[in-house]
Amino acid sequence: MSNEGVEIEFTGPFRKLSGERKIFLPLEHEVTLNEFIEILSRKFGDEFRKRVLDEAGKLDADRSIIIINGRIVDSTKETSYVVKPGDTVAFALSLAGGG
Amino acid sequence: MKGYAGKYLLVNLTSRKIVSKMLDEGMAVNFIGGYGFGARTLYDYVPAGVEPFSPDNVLAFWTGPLAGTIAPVSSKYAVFARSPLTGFFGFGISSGGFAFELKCAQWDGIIFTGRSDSPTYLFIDDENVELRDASHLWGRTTWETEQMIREELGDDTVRVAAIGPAGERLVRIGNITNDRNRQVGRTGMGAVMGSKNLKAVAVRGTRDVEVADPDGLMKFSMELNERLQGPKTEKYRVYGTPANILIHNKLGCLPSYNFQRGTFEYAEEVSGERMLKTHVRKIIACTNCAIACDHVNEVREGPYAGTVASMDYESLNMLGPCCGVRDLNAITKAVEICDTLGVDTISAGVIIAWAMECYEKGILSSEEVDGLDLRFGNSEAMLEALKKLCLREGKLGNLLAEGVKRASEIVGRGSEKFAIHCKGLEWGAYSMRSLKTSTLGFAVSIRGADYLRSGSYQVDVRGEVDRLKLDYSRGKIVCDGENLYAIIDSLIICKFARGIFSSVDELAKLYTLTTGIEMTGKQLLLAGERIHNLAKCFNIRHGASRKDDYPPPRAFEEEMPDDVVRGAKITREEYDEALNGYYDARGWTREGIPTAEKLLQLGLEKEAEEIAKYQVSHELKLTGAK
Repeated sequence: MSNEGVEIEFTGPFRKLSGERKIFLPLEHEVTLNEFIEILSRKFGDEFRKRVLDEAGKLDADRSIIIINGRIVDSTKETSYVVKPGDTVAFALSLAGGG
Repeated sequence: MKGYAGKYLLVNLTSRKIVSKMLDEGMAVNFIGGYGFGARTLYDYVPAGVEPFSPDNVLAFWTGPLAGTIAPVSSKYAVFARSPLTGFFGFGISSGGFAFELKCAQWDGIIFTGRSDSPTYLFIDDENVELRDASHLWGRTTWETEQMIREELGDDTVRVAAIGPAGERLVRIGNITNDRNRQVGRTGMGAVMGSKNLKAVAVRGTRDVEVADPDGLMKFSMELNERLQGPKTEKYRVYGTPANILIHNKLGCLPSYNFQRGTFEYAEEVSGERMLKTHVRKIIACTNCAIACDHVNEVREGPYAGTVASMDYESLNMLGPCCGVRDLNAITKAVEICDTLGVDTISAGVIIAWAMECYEKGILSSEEVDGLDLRFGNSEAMLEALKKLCLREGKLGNLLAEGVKRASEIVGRGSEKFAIHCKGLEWGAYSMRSLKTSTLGFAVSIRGADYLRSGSYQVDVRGEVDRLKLDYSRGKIVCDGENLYAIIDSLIICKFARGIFSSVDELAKLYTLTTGIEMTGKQLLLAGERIHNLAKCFNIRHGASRKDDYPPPRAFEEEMPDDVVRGAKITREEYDEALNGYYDARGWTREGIPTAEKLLQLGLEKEAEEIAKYQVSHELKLTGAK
């Protein structure tokens, strides 16, 4: 994979919002996860931000999860995450089970 | 005591005597309902030595205190018996409208004992209860049975819980179906029902259920309904649980090819996203539910055109990727077969996947699989094997009908290593090696490999712990989850709604508004712990010990081949440490036996006395004393 950007996969509502299953986003340098979400929100609209963050601007693990290089972002420690060129990132609904 | 009907039915199928029994308030306060009442019933009615298909086994249907009221997501009931699949605590929970109707007929539950000498069904028409002939229904599918009973009674609003031909033939994964698409799925409760010659329970309830604080309950229920239609349940409403396929695949925790792998190369083809576009015909709700999660598929073309089946993640994955099958039409057909003939989709998928692996590895011969080309991915062979299993047809059908544990023990020749189960219950759709807290929760579960007793996968998939590691601290996570879920399953409310409650205090509030019995969240959790310990005592009585709380060999012996989790497996050391952590958190011995001190603390005096004997007996075994 190129190191000049980030591969992003979308499932569920994120696929509908972006209109894509997968995109390649050019990225020259490391950014924080919050900055990364901001970039995507500018690209796909405010609804994207609302799907990922709650009203307080925190990751909403009841609704969505973010996976960076196969590792799930811990919603309680989101500020410590960064996204850098070469990463793969996925946005998905939080997992559901148990009727 | 409001909310509860205050009475239940005791039906002796041998003598055909039907008795109304009063529900004791102490039982209500200490065991809440549902799971709690089931634990009390099994412990009190099924001593050691009672075989699951014996007339001496009981079959108990219980609702919770909220069923039949305005409280949302509460139309649920549970069925209990000693499981013919595991030999331990058996139960399953179903939704739909059956529980609401039963409570409106003014019954909290039904305990069946004995065995009818001919096929029969119970008809409850408010206070009028009778056993009716079911000879003409024997051999009919679950859907046909429901329809025929409604026609016979001249009322298409009667709710029916029925078994299919599988339960009649004592297929050990036989289930019970109500409202066409809702099942008491796991641990073979339909097979116990079949062993009693009980084809169905039909209910018509026309009375109101009184609650303690109608205005307060209405206000709180309206608030909960608003939350239920909010963002926290959108995943269930819009996408349904099949949306899990792509996420699990991305994480390398999607069981495929009989759990050999954690990814499926055709995941997109069987994804919830694809299904929503091509197969979902309608989305329906259970009685009194504001979520509406039930995604009903219809096959629109090809050889299975016209097939209709309710599809969730577990069914989809176990009859799809776990069998290497990528054809959504065939998977929908497979679920329809399970639902109509009456077997658990999860167990069925795991059993067939085991047979496929054994066939590919040359352990099962062509003759032993009745000439089927039982390779992974062959959807036609999968469907044929499934029908045989449900009807006990041929060598293969009779073998698979025993469940994966027994089937592998019958076959031997190393096939036991590929049987993915715990305590005899087939594993659900969560990878063992890449969701390790989940695996601990599955393995220690009362009813066998089970994600629904603690929800311990949640900390793994939310990234709150390192899902590829296990340690001592995971034991407390599982323990706390079990106590909470014991309450959810006793009230009984839908687990899809668990995220809308801000704390367990809100569950207690719902209970108090309904019943008038003062209850705090802390007291509820203590009841959850009591219920779980009582169920564990039942398992101890029937021979359970530490050895039964381990995942199958594949979890320890094979590394995962998928890129995202390559090399992942569980070490014995880390598992033992986590299991110790679990037993310590529970206050049990390291052999997994509740201590007298713990049981007394929970008010389980007579259980403490009995379990102490097992403790002594086990210590004697360990020291080799006679």
